[in-house]
Amino acid sequence: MKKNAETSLLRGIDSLAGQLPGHSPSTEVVLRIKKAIYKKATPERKTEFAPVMDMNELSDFLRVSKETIVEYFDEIPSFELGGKILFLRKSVEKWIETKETNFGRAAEWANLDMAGVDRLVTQQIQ
Amino acid sequence: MSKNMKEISDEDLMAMYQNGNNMAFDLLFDKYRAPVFNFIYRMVNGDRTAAEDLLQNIFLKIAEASEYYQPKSKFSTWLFAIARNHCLNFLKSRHAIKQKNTVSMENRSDNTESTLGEQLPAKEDTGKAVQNKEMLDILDANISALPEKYRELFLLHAVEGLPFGEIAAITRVNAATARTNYRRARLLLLEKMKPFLITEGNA
Repeated sequence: MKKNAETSLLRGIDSLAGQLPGHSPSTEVVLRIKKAIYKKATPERKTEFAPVMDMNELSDFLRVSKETIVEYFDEIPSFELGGKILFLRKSVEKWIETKETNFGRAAEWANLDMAGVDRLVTQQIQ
Repeated sequence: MSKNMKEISDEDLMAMYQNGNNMAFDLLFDKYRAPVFNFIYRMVNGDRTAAEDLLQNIFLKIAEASEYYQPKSKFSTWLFAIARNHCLNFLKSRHAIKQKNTVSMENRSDNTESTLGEQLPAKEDTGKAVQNKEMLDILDANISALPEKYRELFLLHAVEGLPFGEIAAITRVNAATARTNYRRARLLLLEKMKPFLITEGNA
């Protein structure tokens, strides 16, 4: 086939492609997704926390489920007021710091020279 | 939606969402749900249920990962890259389940007819319009049969109208490769459609 003819056919494909019918999700699905997004996004959207938090706020603050909070309840500093369990943000933050030193490797890394870092990395790879 | 709302850039809307404004995300969803769905619908060969589930997962992923979004990259690039990854993963798992799954031409046209709205109005007389619709069905079926690598390129460029620079970022290749893959996609389509196109041209 001649080059020109082929070029014009290719252009024909482009122009056809531009006319392809658009597909869109049904209204029902759109609403379903909006609901799911809202459900998912709302609790995690909070970025500022009051000095005193309740269970829901703490779950947002720590980015874990309420079940996890319950699981660690004995460890997490809390207080009771008027039958409500509350958390002092400052105390929770302090508690997190102890967790960090216990479980994180920050301290270990901080005391290493480069050779030590290499050794640690090799260990982790193996 | 007020006119002002429409003028806010996607990146600004994301920043608003990152600061806790849920409505900003709603606007992004409304703006992109149709083009993204159109892309994934054809990527998964017209499997509507799969496309709808993917659409949900994609936007949930976007909401979830929003805190990691950097306005350095365009929102649409990021969105389509996530959409593409979801499609490829889906196709991979579907392929694993069903070794062979090509949607027949008959099924394709059924699907096309069952879609809601957004069908282009026929501009010419009915005879020409029907002919044109048949051509579009044939093209749709052939796009569906393209290998993934070429299908995504063709859909992103010719159907969604994205520039090669952006497509390159979405598909993680350089712009020249994106362009080459697009040309190849078109040549593959041409090969399949030549007989129909030539009759059309002579008519």
